[in-house]
Amino acid sequence: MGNVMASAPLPPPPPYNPPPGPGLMPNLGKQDPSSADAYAPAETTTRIENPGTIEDLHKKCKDIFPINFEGAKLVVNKGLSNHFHISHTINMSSVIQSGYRFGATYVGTKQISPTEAYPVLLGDIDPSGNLNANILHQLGSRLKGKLAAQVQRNKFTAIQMTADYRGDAYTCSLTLGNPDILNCSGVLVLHYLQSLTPSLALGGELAYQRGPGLPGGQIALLSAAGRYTHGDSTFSGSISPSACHLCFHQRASQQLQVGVELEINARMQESTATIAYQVDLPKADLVFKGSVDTTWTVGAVLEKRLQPLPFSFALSGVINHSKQQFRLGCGLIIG
Amino acid sequence: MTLNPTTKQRIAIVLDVSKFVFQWGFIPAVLFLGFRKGADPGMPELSVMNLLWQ
Repeated sequence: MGNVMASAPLPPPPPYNPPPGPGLMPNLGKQDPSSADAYAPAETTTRIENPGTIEDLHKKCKDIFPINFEGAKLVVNKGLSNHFHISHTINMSSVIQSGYRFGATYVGTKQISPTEAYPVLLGDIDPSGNLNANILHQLGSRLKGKLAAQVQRNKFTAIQMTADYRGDAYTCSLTLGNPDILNCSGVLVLHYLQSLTPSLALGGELAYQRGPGLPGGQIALLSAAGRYTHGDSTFSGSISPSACHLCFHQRASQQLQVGVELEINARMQESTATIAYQVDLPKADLVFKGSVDTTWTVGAVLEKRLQPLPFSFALSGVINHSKQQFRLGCGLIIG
Repeated sequence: MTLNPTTKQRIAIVLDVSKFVFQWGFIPAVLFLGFRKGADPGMPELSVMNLLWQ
């Protein structure tokens, strides 16, 4: 989603609801993770619900990991109407490209639920034409289409088309990545996730890639995925013959969430474990995220709303003790 | 799939043009949709200057 979403201030957790500011970013069809898990245990009934997509399988855990940035960042978000938001971002950094980016979001009038409306078009562009574009649309009541494209140096570096079909207790999605008609290359991914019981969801992924650079011209990979929810804890994992990815998320209290992630890549002979936590202090308008991993990287992000001004302040730091690297970032988000 | 080189070239041209249009037309299209929807009821009309300040 690029700078626009990454820089958007986190919505505060549910019990505390400040009046939405004029420039507050819309929810863009994504469920607020903090409100979802705060009330999920109360709604746990015998009814089997839709498990969501495999793409979001580890989302709960991944959401509490800090997203670190480097350098200085100034973001001005403006809501011109309920359906139309723009943003101006100025980034100064020695790692990623510095400069100005303009972002625009249009949310359509087809209301699906109080927080979701379609179509959603969002994108940001810089003066040299590097574009991130996303289109989301709900086709009918169960089918959702997504298109994401990224242009860098006037080349389409990534195109992804996804169709999600939401059944009563399953989600099936088909993704087409970087299709090239002339060379007959591209990636096709089929996802299926089924809720077996209210707390258990199992599924699988079949990825097929075709391209001139591959040995034999094509490759297919099958992997299995699953998620188990018990009260405030969530275990999720995906396993394929060459890789394993396990996540555990625990809501320890209203303020504190903890997550652990283990990633094993057998082909690269690499494995990394990360522990992260998120502290929400709604009374202080503060969100703090921190993480430590087995490569000795320590990262943290602090976000503070400077009430009553419509400003948010973000501070990010990453230090790697073994590589002796340190990166500091600070940002001001207006609106 | 084997394609005639001329056809291939034509497809490549069509793809290049549509990619160029998408690259430079996407943000203007979003802005057009936003301005076509207009301001919320009871709010002053939107103008191009609203993109810079309120």
